[in-house]
Amino acid sequence: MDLEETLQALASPLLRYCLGRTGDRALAEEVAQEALAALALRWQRRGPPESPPGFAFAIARRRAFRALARRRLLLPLLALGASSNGHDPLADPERRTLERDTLARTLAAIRALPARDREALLIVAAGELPGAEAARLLGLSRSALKMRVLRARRRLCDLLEENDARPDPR
Amino acid sequence: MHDPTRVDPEAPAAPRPSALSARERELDTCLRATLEPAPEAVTRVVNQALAHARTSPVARRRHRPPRRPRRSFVWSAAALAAGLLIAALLAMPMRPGKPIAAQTAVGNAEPGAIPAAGGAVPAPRVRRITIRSIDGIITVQTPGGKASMFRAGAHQPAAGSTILVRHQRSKG
Repeated sequence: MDLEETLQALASPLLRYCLGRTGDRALAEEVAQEALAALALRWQRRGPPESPPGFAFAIARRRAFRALARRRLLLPLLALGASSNGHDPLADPERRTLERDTLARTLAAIRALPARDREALLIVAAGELPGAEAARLLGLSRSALKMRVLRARRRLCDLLEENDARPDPR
Repeated sequence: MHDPTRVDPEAPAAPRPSALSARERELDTCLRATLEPAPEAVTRVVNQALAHARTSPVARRRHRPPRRPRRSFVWSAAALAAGLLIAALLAMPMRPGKPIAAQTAVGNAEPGAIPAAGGAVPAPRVRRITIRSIDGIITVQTPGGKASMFRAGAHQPAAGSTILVRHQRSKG
């Protein structure tokens, strides 16, 4: 398989996973790009890895963890910047508000999941990594991974339903 | 009577644990749709990753002609060779202070009448042995020119006998 094709195929699931993991589109793009660049470098240096998706997701996991830790340290500065930055990349404000609302609710529900379940769900459901590779990446047996993802799905469903039933505070 | 182990052929098959229910499948689809990135973001990420890989030091090294060996490498090789040579010279057995054992044939020495000075006895590893006194002290002259003192012991060497010369540290 060609490097460019592999990157094209991996970019979307990787971005989904990174967005679910970081909760921030810009940070997700940064993390995904670093993971893909690392994969491209590895490909050029020593040929394709045994499992390109597994390789990219492993890198993205580590980078996301580091990026989140860094952001937690810089949180006060980021809050200051957000309050002064009124830039709006989307043209339609209504669509933007709806999308943002759905995404915000989903991300809030994902964040409410226990860390292990969240990781498993994002890798399997959002990242679409095959079961065996996801289990190897997370250091679990396949059955344990299935159990974890099942539990995470149920919890996420419950959380989303709770959110939908709750009246909008606005 | 009801047999709990009997399988009812008309009963619906139990769902496999691996099969996703419709609700779970729908949840996965919704999750993917919600987190789906914009097509521009996908293109941007791929292009930037490819550009980064193309301009990485590894890629640049691939297109660069092979370099001459570094000058520092030549110097280190020369220094290593010089060091080895010095080590070999220092490890030579005739160096004063290095313990060696040499079988020396005392050729013309007579019992009890060892020449006071100037008597030379050829030896395999010691260039010259000058026996200067008969009190048991034998002076050995090494190739380096330094004299080392050896105690021959109570027994005087007989003519044609073999003595063991132990090299001791030079007295300065």
